[in-house]
Amino acid sequence: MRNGGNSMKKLSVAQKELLTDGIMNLIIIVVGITDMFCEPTLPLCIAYGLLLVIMCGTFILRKNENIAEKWDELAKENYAKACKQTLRISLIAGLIYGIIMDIILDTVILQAGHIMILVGCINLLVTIIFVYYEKRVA
Amino acid sequence: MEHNFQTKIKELRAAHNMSQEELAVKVGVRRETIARLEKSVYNPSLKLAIDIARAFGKAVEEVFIFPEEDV
Repeated sequence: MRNGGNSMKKLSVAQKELLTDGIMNLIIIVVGITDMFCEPTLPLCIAYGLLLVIMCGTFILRKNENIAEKWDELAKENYAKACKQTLRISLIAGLIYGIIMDIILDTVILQAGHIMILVGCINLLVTIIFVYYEKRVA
Repeated sequence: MEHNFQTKIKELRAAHNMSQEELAVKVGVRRETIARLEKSVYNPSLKLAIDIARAFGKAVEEVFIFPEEDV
């Protein structure tokens, strides 16, 4: 059970998601792009370390109910809907990417950076759609 | 996405002089969930429906009204 209206204003579920998953996945995408153009050097290792620290921060923020609102059944339903929509979009986008690469290059090339960008984009899309559902009816 | 049911949550809240936030705390959900229930845009779980009805001392059928043909 949460505290009443007299307590300090907590972060909403949508705000918490943007601050945790949103930022984390943006960094994953940036690291992924960097990875495609850099050799594994010291700056990239530092970026990976930073990502690890942010992931730990995200985990702590999620577990701390004093900072942000607890998820209820509406939030869970909205998240499930966001995952479903993202899955549909990802499957179609993946298929189109595969067809285009097959036509142009006759093969699909995947690097470590591509996988990071892909994971970051999919997670970011889930977050964006989830925030949209959360904000749709105030 | 409008669900085909009506709720009397708003009227019952007014009768009990209760805010959305207070009801939300009482049944363990967020204020947004209560707001969407009042607008009939969210179909609650059976547990939440019962919790809300109990918060007002009413039966579920008195709080959530489904048209006869949908039952």
